[in-house]
Amino acid sequence: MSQIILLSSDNVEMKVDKEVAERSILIKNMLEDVGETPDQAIPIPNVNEGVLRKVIEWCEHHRNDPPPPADEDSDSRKKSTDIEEWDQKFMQVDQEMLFEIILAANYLDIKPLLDVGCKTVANMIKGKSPEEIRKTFNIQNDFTPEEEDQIRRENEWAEE
Amino acid sequence: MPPVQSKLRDIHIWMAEENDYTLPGCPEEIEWGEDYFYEPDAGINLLVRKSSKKPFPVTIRAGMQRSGKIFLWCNGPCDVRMICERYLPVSSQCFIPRRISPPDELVLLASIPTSNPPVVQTSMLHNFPQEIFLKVCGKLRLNDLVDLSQTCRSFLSMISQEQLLWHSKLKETQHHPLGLEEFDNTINYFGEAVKYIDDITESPNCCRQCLSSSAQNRTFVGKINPVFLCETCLHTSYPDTMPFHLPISTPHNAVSDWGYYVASWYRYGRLVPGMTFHSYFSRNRINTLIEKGQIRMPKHFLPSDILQFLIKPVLENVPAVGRFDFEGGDQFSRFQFWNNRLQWNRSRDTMMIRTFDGRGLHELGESFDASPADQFVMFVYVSTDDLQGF
Repeated sequence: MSQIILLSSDNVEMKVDKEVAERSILIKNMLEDVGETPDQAIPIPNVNEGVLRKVIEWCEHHRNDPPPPADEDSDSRKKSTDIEEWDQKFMQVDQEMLFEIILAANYLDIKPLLDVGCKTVANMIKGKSPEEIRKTFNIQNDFTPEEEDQIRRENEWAEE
Repeated sequence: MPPVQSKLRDIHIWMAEENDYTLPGCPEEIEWGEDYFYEPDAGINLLVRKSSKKPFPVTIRAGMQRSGKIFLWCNGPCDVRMICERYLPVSSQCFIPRRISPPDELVLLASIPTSNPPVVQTSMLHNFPQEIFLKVCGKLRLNDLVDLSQTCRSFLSMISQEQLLWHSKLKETQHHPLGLEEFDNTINYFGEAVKYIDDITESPNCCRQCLSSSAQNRTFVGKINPVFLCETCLHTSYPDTMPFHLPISTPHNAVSDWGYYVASWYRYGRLVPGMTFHSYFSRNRINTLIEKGQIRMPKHFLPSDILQFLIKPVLENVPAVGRFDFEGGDQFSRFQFWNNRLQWNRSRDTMMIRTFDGRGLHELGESFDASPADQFVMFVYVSTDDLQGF
């Protein structure tokens, strides 16, 4: 099986099966443009080694998954709790890494990974009060008490 | 201290009465007290509209006190009703005393408490590009989305701007329609309607109100500008009975009604978020519709079987009974009336409509004064079952 070399932003080379790397639509298109397996490393300037290893780990695990549907909205009924067990464990990382993985998935155009990342974040929000969400994500409350009260009242319709 | 402009967005002023005001030009200089911060470019374009006349801009000056309060001055007459939609975080409705100021006197319109200075958020969520943040939001249920919007100003703003709340509400209604099964058809109809209205109103020539193709580019009320209106709608907008936020008028052609209401909801969904269909009615509007006996809706706009759905029987019943009884315990037929004045109280088969002071809707009648505060919103839940025998 042919392999390619990815070069992280911190200049670390990683050998990856082409099939695995092609989970990234960005890389897949790049390889298609080149027409043959390149000998030289493909630079991934926005992703550092640690994050790239995680992304590759995910791609390797999901190498045989069917391609995601073209219409991402077609799956809109799926809610954030629908995360496979392996993916859940995979996403058990600190917030900074989670953030980086999501950005990397977005950059590399790996929709299923991006989806899992967003679901993970959504699950971190789910069921929490505003104050709990603030604590989870270190958000500063910049509302005045009056504003908070008003917002609460404005949102009452949503509670019905 | 940040520029005031960053705190303010659109301010809309309507003339409340037909008085023949002469607006003076904006003074060259304003004596700002030392307690006030003044940002010269913070002048915010306003549209002051005399009833039945074209709107014309005046200048408002905004100043921020060190306490964090924002003060607004206007060089025009102060017998105006002002709606101030602040950039963050919540809308504010300010009522101006009914008096006329000397033409050269600046009038303090409102003071708006606000926190100061704005906080620079550094959380992971704040660092997400917007499209990723919205993706996350898209995976949240309504209540979680609401909670998220209540964490800080930027999220409130973003979630409100994107109208995510009502999208979410709509989605959840579709999936979990409050015990109402087989609801999807109605939702789909609505989805089509929204798509339709969205498509056609993308055209700059399409009047947002009557959907005619003769609109001129005009910017006026609303969170999303510009709003295009044809001349006729422009001149018939803003009757005294108009709601605060919406340019409700009596449409001048038959095609207006339904499309307009849906468009209003769509365009202004945050202000009055609804679930399926809704409509806004002023007293005059109700009377007009009742006199006509129906609301006409364009056949091409919604499937014909849903076109007339329940508006007609509702309106026909309004003056007569003040409560809506649905025989057979049709659980799909429910009506909500909601705003600050009206509360709704539902039971399985009957919807009682009453105001806070206990009057039934039928009692509103003449005492339902032509005040903008008295508009109410009707949400109509409907299924195809409701159409039987219609």
